[in-house]
Amino acid sequence: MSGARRVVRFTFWSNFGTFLLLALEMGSFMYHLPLMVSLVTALILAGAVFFQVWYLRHHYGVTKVEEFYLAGDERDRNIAYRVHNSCLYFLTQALEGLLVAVFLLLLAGVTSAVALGTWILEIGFTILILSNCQYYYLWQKYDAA
Amino acid sequence: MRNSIAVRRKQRQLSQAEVAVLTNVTRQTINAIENDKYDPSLTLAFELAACLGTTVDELFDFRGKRE
Repeated sequence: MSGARRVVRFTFWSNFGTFLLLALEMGSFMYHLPLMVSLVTALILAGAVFFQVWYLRHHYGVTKVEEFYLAGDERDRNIAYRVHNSCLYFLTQALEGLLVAVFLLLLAGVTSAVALGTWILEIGFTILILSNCQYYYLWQKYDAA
Repeated sequence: MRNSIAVRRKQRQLSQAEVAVLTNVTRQTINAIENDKYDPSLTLAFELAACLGTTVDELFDFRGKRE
């Protein structure tokens, strides 16, 4: 397994864990869970992000934050270009979908700021998870091709 | 693009990993090129040819490009 593939796999799972913690954090506000739950989740979330950065730096030698930080050579860069292109296209479509969704929600009578914000957060969260899965799937697909 | 990298590499008793080190790419890239799954850049093609003691023209067969 190439270094780039290992980085992609680690990033996928660590992002997935981060998203779960983020969902818990969001849920604690939406469903009025005790403040302690929110505080502990926020601390774990911050720790998880620091751990991700630390692990990438010490185990995969990622020292720079740039577009193709995981690309080991020209083939990896080629794969990264194709994956990023597809993901950007998806994210653009998703953003347009989000705007349409807000418009439809307003038409449907969801005018409360809290309700609307909750919907937007939930849709945005779904987009993040889908995008993460798309990145991992496409990288595996192009790397195997 | 079809090529004779695997044949020439074996003639020189080099492994994919050794060729990868000599050309500054990953072993997976050499494997992909040998199996006609990735077309290298011009720079890498010249590096491969130099590494295997031949020319780009002899190493790669453009007519054998897969559809």
